[in-house]
Amino acid sequence: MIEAFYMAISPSYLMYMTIGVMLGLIVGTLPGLTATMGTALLVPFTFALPTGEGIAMLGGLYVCAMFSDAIPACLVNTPGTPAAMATGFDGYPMVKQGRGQEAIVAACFSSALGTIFGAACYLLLAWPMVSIALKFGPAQFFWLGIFALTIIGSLAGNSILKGIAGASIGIIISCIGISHAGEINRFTLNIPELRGGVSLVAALIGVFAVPQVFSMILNLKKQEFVAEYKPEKGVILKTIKKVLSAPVHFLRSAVIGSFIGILPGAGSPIAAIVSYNEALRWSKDKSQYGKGDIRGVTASEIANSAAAPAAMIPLITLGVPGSAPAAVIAGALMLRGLNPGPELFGHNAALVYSFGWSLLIAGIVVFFVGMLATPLLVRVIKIPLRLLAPMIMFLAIIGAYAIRNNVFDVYLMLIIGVFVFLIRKLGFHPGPIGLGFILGPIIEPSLVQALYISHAVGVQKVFFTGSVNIILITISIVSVSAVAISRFRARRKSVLT
Amino acid sequence: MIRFIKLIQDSDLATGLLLLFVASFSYAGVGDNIWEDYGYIDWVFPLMSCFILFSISAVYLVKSSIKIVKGTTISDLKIDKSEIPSIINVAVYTLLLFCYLVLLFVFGFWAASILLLWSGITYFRPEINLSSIGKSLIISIITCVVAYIVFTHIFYVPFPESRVFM
Repeated sequence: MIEAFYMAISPSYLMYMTIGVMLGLIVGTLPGLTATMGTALLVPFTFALPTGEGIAMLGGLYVCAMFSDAIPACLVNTPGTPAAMATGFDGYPMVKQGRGQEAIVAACFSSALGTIFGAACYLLLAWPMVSIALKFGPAQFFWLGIFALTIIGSLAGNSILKGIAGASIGIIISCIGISHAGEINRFTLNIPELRGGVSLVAALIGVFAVPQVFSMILNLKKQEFVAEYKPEKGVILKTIKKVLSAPVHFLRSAVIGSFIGILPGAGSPIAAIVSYNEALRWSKDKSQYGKGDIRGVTASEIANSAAAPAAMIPLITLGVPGSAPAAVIAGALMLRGLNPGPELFGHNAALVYSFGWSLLIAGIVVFFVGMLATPLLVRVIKIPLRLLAPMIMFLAIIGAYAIRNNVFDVYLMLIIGVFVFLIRKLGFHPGPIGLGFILGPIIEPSLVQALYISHAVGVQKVFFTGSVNIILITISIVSVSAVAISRFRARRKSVLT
Repeated sequence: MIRFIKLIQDSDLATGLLLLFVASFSYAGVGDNIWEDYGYIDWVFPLMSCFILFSISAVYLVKSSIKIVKGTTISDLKIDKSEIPSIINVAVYTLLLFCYLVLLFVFGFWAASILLLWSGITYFRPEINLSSIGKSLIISIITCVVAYIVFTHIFYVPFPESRVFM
């Protein structure tokens, strides 16, 4: 491992990894460009490099995209990638309160900490973590998804019913296209383009960015900028101290992120959502969540960044990628004749460990790059809304198009955006709709697989037995009950006062 | 008709009707294979969401029916006259966006994108004069150049080509 460390700190490793980090900054910041797309596009460039440097560059891009996607989420309430959806819940209100710099610094520092924690897990705990992850079958993934859905209680705003309805609408939209089981068309209205389903990224841009731009246009007369911004001295140190002053919060988010990261298919978005929900549940003062609580930003960012290096653990140990970018990195290794899995660990241990060290160092580089870029990036909120709104919309259109090079996705994005903008007036929150859209494709395939298995062994055995199932069902029930009780108490209090 | 418009300005009734429409529309899309062998597996998940929507819409419809009977409906969705110009702005801009998607294939990325950005920025300016038009044009061109370089040269996204300017 020491030899691998020396490899990782060699100038060539550091240089290529830093280039990857820089590219990750662009990929995450621009809506529509995902970490998967970025790593996939970078693979051909890495062919000219030695294997170690090549995968370090891909790793650098991946971990930095997990930070930089928080920038548009905080500044203009448009998540750069699905993983940053939960970051915007508190990041954007912070920006609106004139705490933009604090929000970005918190996201950056939390991301760096999360990445370092995830990379440390990769280096030290790969095998024990994988043995737990192997206990997750389709039914367990289904319950994990249901557990993640319980966050609706905290996202729904004033009406929990509207939150549940929003998530159901998101789930129905996510079901459009060819089904997982019988490969039949669902809700395609005989439109051939809908058979491929609705692009997740385009839909999320539609749910978050388009209504945001329309709101900016509505408020042009009342509001000139997104928010006031005055550079504050010492905000970096103050924010770092704030983040470090909650070690339990950090540890909880990092453990959740790392564990969910190693579950194949779950990935950073679900890690961020579950972590946000848990941070809220364990917090003594829940009143500020969703209104600009720094803990909301850090919970989401620590978890989604810890999930990125952790997603490499099942790839390196078992040959099963934990996320889509990890699958791209697996492809890059295979193109070089290296098969990810126990064999790689046995024959190329130095490469495997140097990659882990590179991810850890990338976390540190992300912090410095983020700190350098923050003063510049935060100025976005000082751009007049009459300029910012058309620019965001333009980037949203290009981003939605870029994901599949399909203009139909842009039409869908606009239609979803107009729909969400209109139903916002009825008191619907975009969060649950986005949540349903992200979790639908995770929950449904697991449910389908589990139902097929249950034909052989029975529904009860598949869904309701086994320690992992029982734990997940229990915490889901506890989560729902806690939300119901807290809402009941809040309502009673408001009636009494 | 006027009474209906007044009633629909109550957010509970509007929510109930909207959810009922979405649920019915989704339910109508459920295929016939649902009753064949394992066909239900294809539909169980969206149907669950659909039934949830039906249930929630029923709650809102019952709630608003009680309000109608009691005569306690609230017009909380009523649009204030001062908001109309802003709503027109949103409608015009939405129309511009759909036009852009058509023009993108007619004139290609450059002409259509510069036109979209320029028209958007100029439309939202409080005062329109030669200098502001020029500034809007420069900002539009710079934004398009940056987007073009990043998306096509770094990330190899092929933009639609013009059918007019070959």
